[in-house]
Amino acid sequence: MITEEQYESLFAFCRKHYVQYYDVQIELADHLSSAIEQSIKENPKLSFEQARDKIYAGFGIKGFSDIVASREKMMGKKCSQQKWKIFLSYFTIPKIAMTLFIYSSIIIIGRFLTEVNQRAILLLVVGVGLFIFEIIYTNQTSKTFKKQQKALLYTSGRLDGILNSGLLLQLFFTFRILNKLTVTTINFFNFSMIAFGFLLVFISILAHRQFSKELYSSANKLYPKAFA
Amino acid sequence: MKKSSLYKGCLEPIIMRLLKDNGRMYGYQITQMVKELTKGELNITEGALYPLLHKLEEQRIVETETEMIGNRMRKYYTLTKAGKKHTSIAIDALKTFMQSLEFIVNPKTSLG
Repeated sequence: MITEEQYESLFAFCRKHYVQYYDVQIELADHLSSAIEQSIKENPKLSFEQARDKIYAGFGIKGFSDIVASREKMMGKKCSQQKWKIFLSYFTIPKIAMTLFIYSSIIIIGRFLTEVNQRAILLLVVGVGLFIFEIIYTNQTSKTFKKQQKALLYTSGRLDGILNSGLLLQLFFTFRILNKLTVTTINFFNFSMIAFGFLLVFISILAHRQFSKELYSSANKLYPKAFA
Repeated sequence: MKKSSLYKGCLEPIIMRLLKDNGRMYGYQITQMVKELTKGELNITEGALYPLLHKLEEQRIVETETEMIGNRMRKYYTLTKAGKKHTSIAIDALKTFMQSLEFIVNPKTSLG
């Protein structure tokens, strides 16, 4: 059996070979330690380091890089699927009722705004408000994860949003450049579409909040040693 | 010709079959069991095994759980419900492939 110290040294060995994520290191350290023990059992003359290097050589010329890359790809996809699942869960009764209520309120206000610039000002206020809400929320998420002491691939996608207001603002300006939208006199259809876009961003922020909470709690359960 | 390039495409059904027969397994255990069952003829490298396990996890064919074994944390792989169904299909495909190979490699025997 390898000692506790030798087992811990395998984490440093993984880091030395460009595996920065603790959750990936766990699997590799376990694999290496089992293989080292077997190797020493078969050939007792081998030292821990010799056995370790021999086993690492078996990973091929690329070392751990293919393993890290495949895991990154898998986690990225899983994360994205989970976020969209939560996002879509907001389009159910009674959540849909709340969504419709917010949307109709903006639309009704927009109906009464007929003066030049009024609709643009309302959209600007909502848009900037949403942007500030997103920044505050992102800061809160970062604070929640401050207790995480070791980098986890599992939680690496925590700050990637589902939709974001930056994308919407970009669309807004692209429309302007193409002269599809005259900001001073936004017609009701354009106003409704932009308001709908803002609503989607708002829902995506709420969904992301729930996703982060779930992610934090499951990461804590799965990898308690990664948290302070 | 390298032996590993011959069985590279068959690794997926092999791993799935082992998981079906043994319930849950961890990476090193899979490599050792394949070696043992084939009397050392088949040697799955770590560089091939883990990316494949991650791909199966991405496709929701396998799921994982971690457990403390003494002072070590171990990750186990298990077939999901969908994975169990998929295993039978993959094994059937592998058998058909083996029969087809027999036709080419040993035409007289396979024709009876």
